[in-house]
Amino acid sequence: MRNFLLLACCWFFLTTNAQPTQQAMVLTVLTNAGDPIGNASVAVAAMNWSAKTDTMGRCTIPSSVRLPGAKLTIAYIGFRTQSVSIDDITDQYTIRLAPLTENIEEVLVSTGYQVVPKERTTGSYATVDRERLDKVVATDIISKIDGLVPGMLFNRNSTRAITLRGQSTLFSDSNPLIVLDNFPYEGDIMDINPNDVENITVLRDAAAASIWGAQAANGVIVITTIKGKRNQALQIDLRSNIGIAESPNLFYQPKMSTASFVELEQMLFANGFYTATENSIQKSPYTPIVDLLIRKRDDPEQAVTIDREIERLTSIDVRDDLSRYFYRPAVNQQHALNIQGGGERNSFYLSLGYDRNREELIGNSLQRVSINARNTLYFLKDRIRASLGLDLSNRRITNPNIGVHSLTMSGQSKVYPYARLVNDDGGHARLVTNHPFSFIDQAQQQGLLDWSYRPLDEIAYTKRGTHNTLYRVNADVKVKLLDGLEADVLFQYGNNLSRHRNHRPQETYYTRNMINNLTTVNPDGTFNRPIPLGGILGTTTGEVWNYAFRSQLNYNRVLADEHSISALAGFEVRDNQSNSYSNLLYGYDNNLGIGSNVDMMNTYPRYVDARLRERIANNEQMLGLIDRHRSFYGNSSYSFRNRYIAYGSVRLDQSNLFGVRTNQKGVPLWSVGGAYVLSEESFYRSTVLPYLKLKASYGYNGNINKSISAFTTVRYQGTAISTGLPYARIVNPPNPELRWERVKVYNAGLEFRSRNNWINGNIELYRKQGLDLIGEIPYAPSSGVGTFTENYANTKTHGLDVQLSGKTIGRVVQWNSDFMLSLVRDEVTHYLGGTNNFITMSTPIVGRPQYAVFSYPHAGLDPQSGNPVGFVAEEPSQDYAAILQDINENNIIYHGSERATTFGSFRNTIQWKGLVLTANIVYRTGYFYRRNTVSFASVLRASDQHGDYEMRWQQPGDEAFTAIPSMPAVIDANRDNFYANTDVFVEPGDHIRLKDINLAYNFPSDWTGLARIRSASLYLYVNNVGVLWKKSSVNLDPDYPYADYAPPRIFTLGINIKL
Amino acid sequence: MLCILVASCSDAFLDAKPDKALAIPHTLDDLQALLDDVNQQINQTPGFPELFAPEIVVAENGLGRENMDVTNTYLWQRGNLYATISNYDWDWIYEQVLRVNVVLEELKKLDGQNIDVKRYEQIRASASFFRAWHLFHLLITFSPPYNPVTAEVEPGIVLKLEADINEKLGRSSISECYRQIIADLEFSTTALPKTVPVPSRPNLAAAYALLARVYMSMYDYQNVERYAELSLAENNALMDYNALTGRFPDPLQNNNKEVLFYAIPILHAATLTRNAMIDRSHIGLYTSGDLRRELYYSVSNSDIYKMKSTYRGTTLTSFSGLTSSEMYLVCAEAKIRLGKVEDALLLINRLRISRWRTEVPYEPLDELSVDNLLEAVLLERKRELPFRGLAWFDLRRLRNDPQFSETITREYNGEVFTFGPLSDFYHFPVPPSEIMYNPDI
Repeated sequence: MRNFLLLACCWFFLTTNAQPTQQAMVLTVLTNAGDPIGNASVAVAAMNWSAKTDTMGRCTIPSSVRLPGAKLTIAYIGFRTQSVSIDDITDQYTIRLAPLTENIEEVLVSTGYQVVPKERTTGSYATVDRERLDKVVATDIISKIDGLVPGMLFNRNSTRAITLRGQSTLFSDSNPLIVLDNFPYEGDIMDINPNDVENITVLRDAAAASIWGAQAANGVIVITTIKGKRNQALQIDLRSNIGIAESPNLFYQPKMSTASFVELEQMLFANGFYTATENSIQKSPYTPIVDLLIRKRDDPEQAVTIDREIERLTSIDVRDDLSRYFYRPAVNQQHALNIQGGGERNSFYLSLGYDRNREELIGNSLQRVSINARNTLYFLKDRIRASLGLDLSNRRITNPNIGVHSLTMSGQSKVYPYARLVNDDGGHARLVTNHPFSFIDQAQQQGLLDWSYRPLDEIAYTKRGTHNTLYRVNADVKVKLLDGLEADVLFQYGNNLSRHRNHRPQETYYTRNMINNLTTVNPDGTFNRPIPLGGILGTTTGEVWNYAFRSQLNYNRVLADEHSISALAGFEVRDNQSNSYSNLLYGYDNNLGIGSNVDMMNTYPRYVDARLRERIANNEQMLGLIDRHRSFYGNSSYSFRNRYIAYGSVRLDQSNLFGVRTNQKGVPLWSVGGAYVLSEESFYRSTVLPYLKLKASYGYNGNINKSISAFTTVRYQGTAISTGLPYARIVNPPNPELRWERVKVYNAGLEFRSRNNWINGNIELYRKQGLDLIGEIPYAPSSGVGTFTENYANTKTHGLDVQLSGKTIGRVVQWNSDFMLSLVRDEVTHYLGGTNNFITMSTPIVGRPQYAVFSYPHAGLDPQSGNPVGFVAEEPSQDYAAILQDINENNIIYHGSERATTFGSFRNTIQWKGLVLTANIVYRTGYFYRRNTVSFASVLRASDQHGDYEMRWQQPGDEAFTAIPSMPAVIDANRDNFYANTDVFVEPGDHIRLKDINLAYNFPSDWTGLARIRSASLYLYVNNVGVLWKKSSVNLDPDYPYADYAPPRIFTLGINIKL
Repeated sequence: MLCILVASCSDAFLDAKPDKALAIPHTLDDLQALLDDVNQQINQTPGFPELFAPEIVVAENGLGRENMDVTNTYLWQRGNLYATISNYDWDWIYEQVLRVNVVLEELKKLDGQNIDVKRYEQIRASASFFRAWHLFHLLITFSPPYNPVTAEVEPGIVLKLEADINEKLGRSSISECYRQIIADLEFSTTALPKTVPVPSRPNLAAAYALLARVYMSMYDYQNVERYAELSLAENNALMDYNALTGRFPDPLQNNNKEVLFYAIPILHAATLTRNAMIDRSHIGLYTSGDLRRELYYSVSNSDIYKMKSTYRGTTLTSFSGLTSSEMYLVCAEAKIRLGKVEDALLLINRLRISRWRTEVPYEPLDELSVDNLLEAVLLERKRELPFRGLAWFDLRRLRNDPQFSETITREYNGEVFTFGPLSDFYHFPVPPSEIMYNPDI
């Protein structure tokens, strides 16, 4: 409105100016990068004239104002004000403003309820801005912050994937709460387009997180997407990248040689191990080597040919074929286009994203299309602000390949090492899976369908995949009511529809096997097929939808320039529901889209032996879940002269927890905090640290566990096919003492900035106490339960988070550095369970970390037999059952934590002319892991193939250079359990890793100017670069000791263009 | 601004169940559903005792793939029995005891409310039957055979009668356990129905049959006779084996009228049992007219006999429930021991003729000497009751009988293993997991 008037004025002056010789001129104000600066103030003080630039950065200066010698000042917040003499200005003049070096870009933290400048906070917040996010290439947003947030540890080995400042629960969900655009997000992270994220704030302590109440015990990750800015010219941003990964290294884990495995099978065969299998009525399978040995025994004439064949198989290593035909280098593509802009009264953002990943397992891929739109409107002189957001994501996963486990023969845990995927003649090879070759060949002669399993064919013919469609609508209306009082109403609706479809046509082994399994041959040679010819189609459809509504009052007031009050109070409800339904169709014809009816009531004889009978599987299942929350919350903050800040928040959460008395359905949680900005004091005169703030907070966060209840709960399992009656099972017996988990959090910290913002830092000390934590305790089985989940332990965690960022602004070279250090020490302070069961190594010990590594004391190997030696009542013994029973918390050896206790990252960016090099080094120390070893019980069933087998003790004297015991004559599970848990296999996890490198080149502005684009850059990004140093001498990556292969390096080439 | 969504303001909003399939059991339907969990849950019995069947023979190297507990039980190595700290027979049967105790406690809470009284009483009677069923099987598996002299002091099993998992209990004496079991069964006979929709639910005949078995293990033959007769009065049907075509019908489809109560053993030993050979001398017990030889056993080309079909019907495992055919023999044996020889003969012959091939003329049993008749009825048990979960039961009760106690010899991979009255393996040891977590045991 004002612009219009000004322009009108300018034009008016222009046209009514009586001095024809002097023309009005157009001034354009830009940043150094060439972006127009709208709303910049342009003034000629001497003439008492001022104006503002428009969205294109232009302003017309009337000739009447052109007093010779007068100064024209151009100013805009965050930039150094410039003055030019009016005489120097030509008709079309462009001026570029330089950013204020002293000006600290205000860091804002988003809590999901409000956006507050970090300076005014008393709690613990960590922020990750767009610039840091953009340097990392990943398909999902959470992977991008790995190594960028102090105190946050990505535990790659565990289902408890992310922990923030240690873990304060034992068995309830320990992942932090994810908040997306003001509401909790429980969907799939893969449905958020990472290119749409503006910034991330992580709430770490009580003051920060208690606003989220019962969901905040594990910390909160608040994700804010881009909304667009007002008064901004149209910006178009185009990004594209393509990444190629190395092919997985399948030789990562030590493995028994094929020769050793064949020798093992021959030994087992000679001992009669396979006799039961050979004679089994269900025709259990045996490997090709065993098949050859059987033939050799039954037909000694063929011995020479058979031996030659065995020799030939011994030279094969299945990992060669796996590398060539089963795995491939993954290729990831990501393309994103976003458009944003804004006028005086609106701002908008529109983005389109396309991702396409070709996975490393052959046949598998992912495709995602996402469309986001945001629009914000300002009415009534900014009294009303209304925004609307729409998100659409369409994701298709194709995964006919379910991994190497699909190659395993039934009864073994790994595929036999001499398997081939492709024959010498190029055809797809077959593997033994459910029945021996001799049996299926004979069945085929009888006329049954081909019963051979060819993995590569299986992957080619199976049509399996999931299609996910997500859409969300977000609406937010803010209304300014009175002076300082604002009302805010938010609403969100989200819907995620997932359709999983698995079509296995008759060409697949799966279907041929199902059909053949129940086929019977009639005396006249015809076939009886209870499962008819045709394909098998399995579908699962699931829908998850949620409504959320929030209404809030915000109050912000500054009184007498000294007292600043800000408060909010609100009410919110959330309703999440999900349904899912599964179905299975037999005799399916994909062209016609119909299946056949099958009889699922009666049992049918199996082809392998008519005495065995089976029923045709139904697979129909329905699931319905409802999750409802209702909360009341409020917080307020008071600061005096920007120097003393006090904060408090309170929240009551209620939920539809099942089987809890109504007055126990709610949990009240609260926190208080204070901060003292020392640098604002009049007596504070340090120029070295112009900003220094001390802060402290205290409060309670909570954790609601929905899986247990105080009352007896039963679950209906369905209708039993055999009886036709519905049946139910007990989920848990009653526990009237059940209480919700709470975490008490203390935090104290220091924030500082040095002169010119060369260094800024945040140092925090914290202490958390987990109270009434819920977990499982073993019970005597006569009680009717083996374990019971109840409030059973308390824990204590304390730690330190340090974050230091520094930068230099040189003329030629610029260097930025972020250093993070976290120390976390935790221990169990109280444990309800009585006797500790160390046979399974799973019990917490008071005084030790929740996740600790223990081992059994041992006395090496017996020099005569190679048996491992343990202790019973402090005397050496080989009675393994007794050794395991004798272990208690006094004689067990404690090594340390299973999770890193000191960790962090060191990230550096160096800029020289147009080149920018960023590297992130991540380090973790102070923890241990236990590596796998050979299990002789499994070896004696020809199932385990761990490489430690090659190092086993074989004759007296070997104990001098190997710690792996001899192979016993009989299966002894206790012996295996004992030595696998000795300290021989405990390794330190300490390591330093170069996580990623980004080398970018920003094209110079002359070139981009020519092409009429604002900026362009090209970059090369490498992820999973490698481990620079590790303490353990074993050849395993300490973060991936159990994986089949360490994550391959990914090389990505990308381009960003801004128009 | 605050309560815009009226729905969310009421507490009903928070009363929605988080999972549709969950329920706090408070209706008779819920409690009945808990008792109808048939698939290897409430209708099951301990599985390890199956390995004591004298007629099964495991082939050379046939134990190669089995777990240590199965192998050691088969070879009677009681000292080194448990590979881990658990015995799943103990664990899973006690789970069923908890289930039944929960039903009984929830029933007490429903007392006095407006409900179908008859159905309430039936469910309560069923629950009592199930508790007795499971406690009895725990007792005969984990405590020594009944000895009237020492039964009041010898430890039996943990007698769990409440759903509170925090209850601290040791083992009650064998006598006390028997008293509880009999009390539960007698109570159940007051309200169990005569007929039920499926035999996985107990009926009156089943309760009487179980009482007969219980008293048989206590050598109280008067009560054995009494209850066996009561059971036969409810159901004395016998299938004519001539009418069966190759295999036994599915009892859960109500096609086997002899089944009074359906149960199967926990399947630890199922693979071994179905793959095992049947001892030749056992096959020799059947004469040529006996249809049981064709129906129970299959014979291969190399003259090896194996399990072929059992009262389980639909698949190849043992059956361990209650049948009328068993009651015929139980009643007959009791009568013989009480001297009622003619009545006994009537029962035995009626059973045998239903198993006789019609083409072959049937020669009735007419032995009148008690000793010979006792031998005859015990032989008839051996012919009629393989794969019916009774081998362990008979071995235990006949242990001290100088004439009829059994000694079994098993040869495996060159070694010979023997089990006889002097053996220590007439009950399973309490598992380490119980000893570890129950200080009162």
